[in-house]
Amino acid sequence: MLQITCPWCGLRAESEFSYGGEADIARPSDSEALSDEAWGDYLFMRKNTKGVHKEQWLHASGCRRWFNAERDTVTYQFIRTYPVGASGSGDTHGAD
Amino acid sequence: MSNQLIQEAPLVGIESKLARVFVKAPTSFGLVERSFMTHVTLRGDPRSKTFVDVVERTLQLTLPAGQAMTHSPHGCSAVWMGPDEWLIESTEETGPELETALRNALAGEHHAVVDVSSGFTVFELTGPKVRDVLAKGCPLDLHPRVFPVGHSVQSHYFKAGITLLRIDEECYRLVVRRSFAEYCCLMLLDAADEFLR
Amino acid sequence: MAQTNRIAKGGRINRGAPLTFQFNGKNYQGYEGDTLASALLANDVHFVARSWKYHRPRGIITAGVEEPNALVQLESGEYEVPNARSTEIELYAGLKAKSVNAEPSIENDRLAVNQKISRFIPAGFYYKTFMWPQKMWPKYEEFIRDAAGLGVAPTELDADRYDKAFAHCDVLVVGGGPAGLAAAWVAGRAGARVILADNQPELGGSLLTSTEAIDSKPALEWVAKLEAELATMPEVRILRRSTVFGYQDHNLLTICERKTDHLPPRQRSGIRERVWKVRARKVILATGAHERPLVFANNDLPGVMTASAVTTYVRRYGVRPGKKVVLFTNNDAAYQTAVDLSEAGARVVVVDPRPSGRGTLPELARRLGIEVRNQTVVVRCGGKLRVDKVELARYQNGKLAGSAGTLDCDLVAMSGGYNPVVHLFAQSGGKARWDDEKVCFVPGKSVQAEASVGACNGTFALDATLAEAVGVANATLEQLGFTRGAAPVWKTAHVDESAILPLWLVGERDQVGRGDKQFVDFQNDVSAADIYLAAREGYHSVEHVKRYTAMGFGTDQGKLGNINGMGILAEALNQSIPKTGTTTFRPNFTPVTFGAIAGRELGDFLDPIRKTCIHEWHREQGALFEDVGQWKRPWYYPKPGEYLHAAVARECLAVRNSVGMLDASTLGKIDIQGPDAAILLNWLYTNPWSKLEVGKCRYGLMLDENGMVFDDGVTTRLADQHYLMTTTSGGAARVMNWMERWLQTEWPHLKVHLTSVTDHWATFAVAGPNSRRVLQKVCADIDFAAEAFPFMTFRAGTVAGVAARVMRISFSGELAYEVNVPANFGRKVWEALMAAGAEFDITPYGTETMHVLRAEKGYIIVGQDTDGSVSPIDLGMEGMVSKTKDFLGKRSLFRSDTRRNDRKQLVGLKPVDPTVVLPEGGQIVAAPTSGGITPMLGHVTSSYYSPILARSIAMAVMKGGQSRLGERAYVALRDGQCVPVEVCSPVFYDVEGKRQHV
Ligand SMILES: [Zn+2]
Repeated sequence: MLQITCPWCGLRAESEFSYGGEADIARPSDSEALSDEAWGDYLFMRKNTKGVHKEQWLHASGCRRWFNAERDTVTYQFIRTYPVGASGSGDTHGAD
Repeated sequence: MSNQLIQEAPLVGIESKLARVFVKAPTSFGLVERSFMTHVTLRGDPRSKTFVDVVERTLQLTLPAGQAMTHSPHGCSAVWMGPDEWLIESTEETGPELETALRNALAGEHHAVVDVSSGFTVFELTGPKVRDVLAKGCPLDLHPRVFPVGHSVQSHYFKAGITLLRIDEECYRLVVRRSFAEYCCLMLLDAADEFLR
Repeated sequence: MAQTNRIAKGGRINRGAPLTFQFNGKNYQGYEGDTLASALLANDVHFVARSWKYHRPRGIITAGVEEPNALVQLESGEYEVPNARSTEIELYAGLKAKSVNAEPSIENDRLAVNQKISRFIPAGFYYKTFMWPQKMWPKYEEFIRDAAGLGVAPTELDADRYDKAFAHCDVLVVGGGPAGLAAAWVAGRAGARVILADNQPELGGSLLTSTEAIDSKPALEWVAKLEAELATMPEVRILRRSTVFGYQDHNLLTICERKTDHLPPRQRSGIRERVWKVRARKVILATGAHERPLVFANNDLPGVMTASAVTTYVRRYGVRPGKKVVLFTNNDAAYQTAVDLSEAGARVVVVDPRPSGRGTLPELARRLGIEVRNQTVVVRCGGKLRVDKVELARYQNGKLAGSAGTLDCDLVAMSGGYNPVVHLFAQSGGKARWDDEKVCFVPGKSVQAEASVGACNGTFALDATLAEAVGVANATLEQLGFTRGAAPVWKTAHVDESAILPLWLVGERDQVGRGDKQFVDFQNDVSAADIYLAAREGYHSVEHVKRYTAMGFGTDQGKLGNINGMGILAEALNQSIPKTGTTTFRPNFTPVTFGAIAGRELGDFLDPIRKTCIHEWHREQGALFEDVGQWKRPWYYPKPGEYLHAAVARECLAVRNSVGMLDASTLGKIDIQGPDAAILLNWLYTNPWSKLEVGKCRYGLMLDENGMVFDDGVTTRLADQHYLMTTTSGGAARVMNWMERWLQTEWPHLKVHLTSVTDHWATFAVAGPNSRRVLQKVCADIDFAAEAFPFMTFRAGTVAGVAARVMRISFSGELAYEVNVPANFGRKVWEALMAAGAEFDITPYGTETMHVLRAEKGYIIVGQDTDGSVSPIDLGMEGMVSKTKDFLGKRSLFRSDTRRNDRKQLVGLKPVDPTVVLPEGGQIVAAPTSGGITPMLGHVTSSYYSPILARSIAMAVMKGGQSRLGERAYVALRDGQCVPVEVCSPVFYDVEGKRQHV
């Protein structure tokens, strides 16, 4: 069981959280103009990173906030966690 | 309150099981249901000075900015639930009264006030073994060095979501959703079993 | 009965408390403080087991957790434990145990014949022999499982109680030997929160059998002093009989504490085992080392033991396992065993492949007159059910150099050096490193916050161990922000040692497999020849060799044999041991009972049982309950003598003809407030929400981004910026999380707040032509006239004196109202409505009736008629899909696949025989089948007998179903029959929808 730092509640047990998959996947703004392929890319294509992965977590049995994390998928170490929108380094995926 | 005559708390049907822990001064572990407390969920932006000022004036308390609870002189408390969410508890006003008071005071400011008095119940847990009972289902570190009196956190007890408040050295208050109350209570009783022999 | 091997005095047993126990049906006597193994040895019982594959006789080989052989089936019935290690079972009065893997008895084992054919069943035998023909596998499997195996799974329900607890500490110390005790004491003294876990009933570890002195006093006095001081430290917790079995992520360690196993079953009460889940800021591993056996022919005979085990039996249990002993060692440490045996009155000959050295212990042995044969090895043991002689050979320059005669003996003690117990370190993610000088794997770089001290770090001498433990504990205190105290001074004597001589296979490499077996892994019957065979057949990776030979599997996971196996494999491949590497050390360190893993979350505690505020009333009325998600909902309310069918028919007709009431409190309810609430609803639902007026209700379908229906419900606009959404009973939390996720991560600019009010509001559906009249009786402040309170609108008022929200909505197609009151008042309002409805014979109805009523109307239930692959178009609800706005999932509805017209679509089915109720899940086919392969067109999703229509009806999803209305199809039954049905619209009753509008 991992330990995860909620940006609001601090270090907590993984059992309080639920996982939300890859972070920074912006929903395409004009979805109806997209090709099937581009829409499929947004829906299904994920990086499956080996190494530092940006991902979303929900502090489900805590403050119920979604937040972002950078986690190494090899070592399971969290590099950092931060509120959604606070990262600045906008690495978008799917909308391109 | 006249309402209490016709209200019914969630823990019906397990009275006989409760008898073991329903004691005033427990030598190991005691559990008492504090039923019919008023609970109102308050949402709003703590960065808005107006919002904070109005709430604090209306409730006569300081809104906690982190994992803690604060009290008014008149039986009202505010429990931090998230960066823009508080659970307001009261033993004096009813849910609709508190809801109306806050909603009127906050008119024009983006907020939400919702009476959830029937949605929660409160267990008061006491006795020297209370931490051991909680540790069986709750992953939090309850040691006084990290969980002082006045601290409030949300977590889970086995599979029920809980809000846990430390009221005193050996007294915790556990706020749980109504429909999980019986499950949560039975898990507490089961966890306490070894201390009640 | 005489304990012939019991020494007159000494040991940590209580000679004042003799205990009688039973092994393989015979009664024996031991003492309190014995293990089952020590008590058996006291009675000169060495032959205790049959091996796994060859059914060879086996004896007790160790005195601890690493024991591969002496496994027993302990007790019987509700207290039965398979594969218990007799070296760890604390003796109690009346204990009963028998050998595993031997039927009918170890003396007359019918599969002992396997020994004779063992030459023909080497490693890989099962793979090669039992491969073809494939259809014979079940037979082979039966044979293999019967022949090869250990204990038997108990057949009775476990009587014991198991428990779990979370714990947190600054420092978790694993192991209560000298290193662990010293580290715990230093950390505890500084005020750190310390947990010290040890797997023995008493602390001390190696000191329990040691002759060494600390501060010029017996080491156990030092143990007692530290233990007493630790007991006074309020932040220190000592867990005895507690095995740390897993080092998980982020410094979470799992410990199994055995609380009652040392007591006779009848005296046990309370918790048998507790799993501690400990989150430690720092872990200090002080897990010690296991002695390696030596690999020579017939080294598995009963009476061949590790030297440290012999010392343990002599010094800790007062048992001398043999009188004529050969001690075979490649290192100095084992000479202690010769000394101990000699003091206990045994005759000992030491056989050592090394030339004579000047180490402290060999010197001591010589001074005591113990015969030492240097440059000599044991190549073979002789004996049938017990070792009775050894064959010796001269050993020069790393090679055998001719016979050195034989020695008669009744015990062989062997020592191939020590393996640090690096299991937990390896589980933490660390890589063990080979140490050429110490001839063992030692912990490498730390990956998590841990440090190894003492023997598990390759630090074997007591003086160095204590210094290392104090050093690491002090560094830990500094890291964690505690002030360290003055370093303790514990004086010990220094022991000089000559170097250990690596010795993996004692024998000629080209003779491997020719003579008697040289065992490496005792539990899995893996010999040196098997490893050579694997290498010859091309298995060079140690992980592959493990799987080919089964080395390192089983209940001991190769604790004893793995390193020898790797040494031998390295020799076979002519490469170094570091190059050969180790297999992966996985949790769990020792087997963990299923009971401990499950804890208390069994039966009714497996998952929360959620109840509504009317639950007790339902129960009092004799309702049967149905599980809907975690909720208990009334299923139906049988009257005396009624079964499901009759009760549901009565309930259905009551609603259709008069009035009924359903407890719908389990519906998910979400309070939505804020100026942007309608924008959010527009995103969530397929239909438009901007123009819904205050006081009106609307049905909505929610899609996931794949365009598939995942929830539905009615949302009411309570006020200008205030909505109340309802969700399915099972979907409430999912929908809430879905909404919060979009709000928080994608549209944080929207001014909307969500609050779950599912638990706050009790919801009752009052349905049927008389529902209006019932409500009028208990509610004076709402005008219920049809035009004043039309369908799909909401009014606030007072029902039975309680502030209520009343919606005029219907899931039955009848005139109906949904009454919402705070749950604390629910029971009172429910009873008031029942009383008001009495004159109309108001009938409480359950979920079964609710299902029938809605199916008559063709209303779907998400999760029953949909399964995550059904779009609104598939449901024939394209009219609810807005053309003018975007919403979640919309783009997916225009993918070529979702536009296919042969997708499975919602239809109704009418069995041609109206008395036949189709099975839900039944497959639809175009024509009756006769055993061949037939395309499946879809399946039945809902199926009932409709009392109002007096016929059976069903809903189904069917390929291209919407264009098949009126066609004939068939539903295949499990018995091969096919039921003819007519495909029709799913709306069976009141097609024009007039009844709900009256
Ligand atoms: Zn949080």
